[in-house]
Amino acid sequence: MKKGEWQLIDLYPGAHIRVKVGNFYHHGIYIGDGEVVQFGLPFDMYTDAKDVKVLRSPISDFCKPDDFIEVYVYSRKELKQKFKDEVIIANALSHVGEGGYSIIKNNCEHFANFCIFGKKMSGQIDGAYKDVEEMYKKEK
Amino acid sequence: MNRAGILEKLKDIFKIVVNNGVDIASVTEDANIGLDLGVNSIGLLYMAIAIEKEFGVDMADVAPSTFKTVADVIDYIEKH
Repeated sequence: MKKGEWQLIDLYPGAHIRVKVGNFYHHGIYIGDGEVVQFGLPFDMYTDAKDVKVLRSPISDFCKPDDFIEVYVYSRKELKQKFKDEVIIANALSHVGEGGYSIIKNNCEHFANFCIFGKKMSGQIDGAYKDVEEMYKKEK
Repeated sequence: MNRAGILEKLKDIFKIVVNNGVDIASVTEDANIGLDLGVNSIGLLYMAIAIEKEFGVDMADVAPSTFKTVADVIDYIEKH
């Protein structure tokens, strides 16, 4: 699938948003009125997976005031495949309180993409798998 | 595979994914993943993926807080 790109544009309800946290990006769905639905807090990847839940939070719990919040701008192909923004918001809200977090299999990016496309996808994890494959190739 | 065997196989993984000048050959079970091996969050993710690949262990419930020492990693592999 041809990918869109991350841009520093205004947030809109239903937007897929992310902020840089250490070596990773933390993802969420902006639902309007300064609120976000996120799978765990930005640093929850460092806590016990069983304690991480889908949260409806003020944007202040998603990032620090001076963080740059990036918004995903879909490719033309993705625009045809994504749910409508109101459906994305409803999907996100319907999972609030749920757990099952896994940094590899079910992280904040998997969750956001599940709300948007109905598929759990994480470019960060796919990239890490490719990086490890490359490391092994270099070793041989 | 016993713990010594797991440790040796882990050292092979560390050589690949912990490429920061640490003397991997001298790593023991007591070594701290972050302080002694210098593994950061992304390094830990790489390590988890490599363990999954080499040991066939499901690493789905691993978080950066799961492992403090090499012994914790060996315990996890033995339990899974």
